[in-house]
Amino acid sequence: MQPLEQELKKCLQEADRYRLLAEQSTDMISRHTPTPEWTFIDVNPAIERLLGYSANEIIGTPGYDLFHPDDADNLKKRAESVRYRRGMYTNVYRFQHRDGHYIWLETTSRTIRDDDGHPLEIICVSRDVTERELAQQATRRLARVVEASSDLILFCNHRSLQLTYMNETAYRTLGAERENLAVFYLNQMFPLEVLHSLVEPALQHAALYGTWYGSIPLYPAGNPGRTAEIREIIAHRNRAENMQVEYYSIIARDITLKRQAEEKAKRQQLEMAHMSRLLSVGEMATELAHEINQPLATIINYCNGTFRRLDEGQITEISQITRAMELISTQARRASEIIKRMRRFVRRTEFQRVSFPINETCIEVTRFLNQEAIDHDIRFEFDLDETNPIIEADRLQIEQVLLNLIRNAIEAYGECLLHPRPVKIRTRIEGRRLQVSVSDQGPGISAEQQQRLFEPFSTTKENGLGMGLSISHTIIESHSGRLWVESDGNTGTSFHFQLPLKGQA
Amino acid sequence: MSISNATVFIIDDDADFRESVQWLLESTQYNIESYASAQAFLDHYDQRPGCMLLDVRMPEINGLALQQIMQERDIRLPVIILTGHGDVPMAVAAMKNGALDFLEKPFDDDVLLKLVDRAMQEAEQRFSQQSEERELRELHDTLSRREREVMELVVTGNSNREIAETLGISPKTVEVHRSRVMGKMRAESLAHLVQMHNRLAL
Repeated sequence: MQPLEQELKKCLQEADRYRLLAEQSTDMISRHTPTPEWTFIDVNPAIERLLGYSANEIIGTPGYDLFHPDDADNLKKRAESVRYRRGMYTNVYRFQHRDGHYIWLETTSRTIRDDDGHPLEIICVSRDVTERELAQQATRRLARVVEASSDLILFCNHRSLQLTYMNETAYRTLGAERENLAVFYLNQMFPLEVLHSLVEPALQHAALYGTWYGSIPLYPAGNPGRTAEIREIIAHRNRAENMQVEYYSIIARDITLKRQAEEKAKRQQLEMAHMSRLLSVGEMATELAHEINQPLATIINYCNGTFRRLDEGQITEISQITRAMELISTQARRASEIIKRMRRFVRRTEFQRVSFPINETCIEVTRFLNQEAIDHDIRFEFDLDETNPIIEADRLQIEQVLLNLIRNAIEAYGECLLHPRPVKIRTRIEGRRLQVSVSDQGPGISAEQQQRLFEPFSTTKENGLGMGLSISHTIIESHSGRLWVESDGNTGTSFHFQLPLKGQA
Repeated sequence: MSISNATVFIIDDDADFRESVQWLLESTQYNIESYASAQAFLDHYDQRPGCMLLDVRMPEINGLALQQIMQERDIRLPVIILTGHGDVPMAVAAMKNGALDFLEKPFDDDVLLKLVDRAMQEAEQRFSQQSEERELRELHDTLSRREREVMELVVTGNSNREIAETLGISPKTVEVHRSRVMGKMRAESLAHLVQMHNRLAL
């Protein structure tokens, strides 16, 4: 064979191989005019699988028309999706299928030029990357959700506890600058005791079980006044490397507004409770004045009796009047006790949770109502739990509830002919709770009245404002307890409330 | 009766106050007796003369109720009501029940002592009146049925003849009954008998 012939044959064989390669390739290989129309000059059969067109159909038609309108000018705009490397552009864009829907193509293109540098044609290799693009798009959207979330989301290195990512809300709540991220570590965000007692166990739990749910308070040092709460920690494992924990995601919520609303509600409740106490004392004014008057009248009698004896020369020794002096000071103390009790009751206080024996409080409150009991011929009957239960609550507010309930029981008798009239006060431990009951044997409360009983301004009394039961209800609820009524509407009424015992709240 | 050995009965449920009034009144000539409740007083009272210091506000039987019980039992102790601050309606009710006066606690000792003295004078009158009435009643009890009928008609101004007609007996018999009535009742005159009759409130 002639060497030239041989050379030619070799060339033809080579061309056949390339043709075969081009025809068998799953990537679409196409040639286009270097004009804005980007007309198809040639294309391999892969186009049929990718775009639904046959090669003959598409050759000679402008490719430009098939671009998604948003992506058509990617190259001109030097969009993010276009990369340039060693004379080749790689572009990711949407291209229309024969059916009308769009697929994602990743196209690498090169411009072929003549010796003068004028473009002759453009050769492209395109690949369907729809699946990859959609997956990436989902990831990008997820990232945007994380970034835009109203919850604080932070990623944290599992060893150094350095925070590697914080979303917008996290920056805002923590009062940090985006640039200073490097200096942020999880353990800098908590006081030492919180770190040891809450944060570390939560991380360990997440590392062990994948996720931890709970509540850890977070008071950002860089943003005083804000309050957040960590609610969830997820430990992410590296699937490639024997499932080691790679990092933690921490999800927290800014609860500043919620806390402020709670604080406001609490202050309002304190305010209402105080007002209601003032009203109670106002309603009891006559009785209280009478009670204070009694020791004062007694003191005056002792003084006058003593003067009289002195005038008449009956006193020869000082010992004859020491008894009177003693009694005078006893009475003065009695008067001041009543005033003290009253002042303690009407003072404006912050919410104070203290431990105290409920039995003693029940007795103390009935002392406050001594005169009212006398005037209404009331007998207090105590049936108090012998174990002397201790509760943890705002003592003054619980006294207020007891006072309201006992005064209601006294007033329940009204014109009732029963004498004497018992008001029974009972305390019992029921499981982990304490139950206090105040019962009377008055005419009872009808089912209809019971429904509206705890609403504010619902009253059956002539000079009551109807605040007592409503405020009592609120007080007991704010102590995680409940208050309810029992009455057959005929032979008496019992009010009960339950509160958690000390250490059970 | 002599007021010097009369008794001041103090009824008040407040022991301290009771004792203080006792201390105040011990310098006087009167006996003092104090009770914690209306019932305790009623259980012990034996018709002795005197007066009463009564607290209106008390459990069980209050001052007003005790006044009513005393009326029912013809206990004529003059009552001085003791009231607390702002008990005006109760004080008014007590006065309507026949209380002699009322005192608001705390009170001036001079006012109290003057009131007690006045109450004791009133008591003297009331108790002598009561013993007179008792004597009259005893005398009246000795009359026969016919004599009582005659006395009724005599004191309402009937003549012997009218009485005889009403009762269907002779004027002579009326005359006999009439003189027996005058004798048994120890009446000095017709006017005296009329007076006695009024006092008996028959």
